[in-house]
Amino acid sequence: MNVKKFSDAMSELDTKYIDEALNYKKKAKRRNWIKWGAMAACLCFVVVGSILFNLHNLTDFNAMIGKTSVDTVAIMTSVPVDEWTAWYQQINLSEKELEKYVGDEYLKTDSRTWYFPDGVNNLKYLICKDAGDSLTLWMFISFATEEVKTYTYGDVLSIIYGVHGADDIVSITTSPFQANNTDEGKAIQKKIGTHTYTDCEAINMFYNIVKDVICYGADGEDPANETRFSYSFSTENSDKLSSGESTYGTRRISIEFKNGTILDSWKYSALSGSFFEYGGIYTEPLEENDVYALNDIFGIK
Amino acid sequence: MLFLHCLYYLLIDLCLRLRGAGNPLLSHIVKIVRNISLKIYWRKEAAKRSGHYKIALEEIEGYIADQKTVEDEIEARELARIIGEFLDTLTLENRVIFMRRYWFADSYKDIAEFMGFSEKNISVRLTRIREKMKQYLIEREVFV
Repeated sequence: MNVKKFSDAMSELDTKYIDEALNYKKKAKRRNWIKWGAMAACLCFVVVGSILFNLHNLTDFNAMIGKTSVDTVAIMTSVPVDEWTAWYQQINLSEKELEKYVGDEYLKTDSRTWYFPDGVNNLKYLICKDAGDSLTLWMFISFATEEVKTYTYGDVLSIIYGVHGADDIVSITTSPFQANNTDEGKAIQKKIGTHTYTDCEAINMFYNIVKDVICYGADGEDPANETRFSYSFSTENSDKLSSGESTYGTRRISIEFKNGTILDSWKYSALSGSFFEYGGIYTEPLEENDVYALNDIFGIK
Repeated sequence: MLFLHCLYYLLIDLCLRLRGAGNPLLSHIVKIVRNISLKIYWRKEAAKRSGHYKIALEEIEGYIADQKTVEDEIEARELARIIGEFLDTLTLENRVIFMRRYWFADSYKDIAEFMGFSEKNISVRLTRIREKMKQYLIEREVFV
């Protein structure tokens, strides 16, 4: 087959694909205010009641998982998600506890049935019932990249967390990366402190940067992770610190979304100008302007 | 050729502006215009000129062109049917991105603006889609 054959074939495609591409509207612009206004007027008490019911359950599972120290088990499994294969890691939680939170069915395979946690409509956590009716809880780790080499953080946000724009983010919290347990390291961490950002400008800027971050997944290799930037910071014993710059220039990131879910697996390194996650999940280094913008937001000088 | 190239894009632009009217013939009109333009494009002298469409074809050539195809004479319609089945495996957004690139020959910039994504996002998505299509075609023995 050559390109002309491909081109001829494209000309023969069913017109439904052309219609779809002609009539596609970006998600943000799809609302027909007259239509939604009329529907809201007729169904508002049902919607409110439903929201209140689901919020109670949403808070219930998310509140439970928020209070629980997430204890991962060294077992991974793959789950088909959208057009991807997603890697999930098992979370240690008793079946008796899990029974309370089994929600709507998400996916049924030959040997397993996957459920959303009750009241939750994103894919960060899934509950699995196996052929023997045993229940286990699983948490999203990454997309498989064996066939396709990369994905973006935007894919993770939209497909797994149901986040399609900065408006879906409530807050971003940064905290020190606790890799240095010397007294000096702890002093730096205390000095850095924990900060929460809720202003629209910071959230918009953060979202517009991270949605394009290219991730190599757990199957990928660390790209050239050389030290690209250096930072100055004041501490009396700076010359005695081990990995002082790394301690100072690294932040754990926790993002709270409007749907009640929290993403807390990302870390940002100002030294290498990139994001990373535990388990060897690497990303493409950021453009310099993006590094400077994030450093401004996070107060990294 | 340059005149016809411009006419093709003017007509596409006009159709896009009028699509709000929900004209059911729109896709057929666009298809006819595209076919006429392509017939002229494939003439030798026209193929020498660079353009969005030539760039798009060069981009996908690595994922479809092979001297070892089992069936060199696969009919365009049969291939269209297979490509259509492949498109059905994609999400709506990725399907639209594929069509905008390889049917409408939009640039990455235009697609990004149309979809509300960044150019980098479009580039990554198209790379993934091409690789997935290649695998799809291999499995169906169109591309060996």
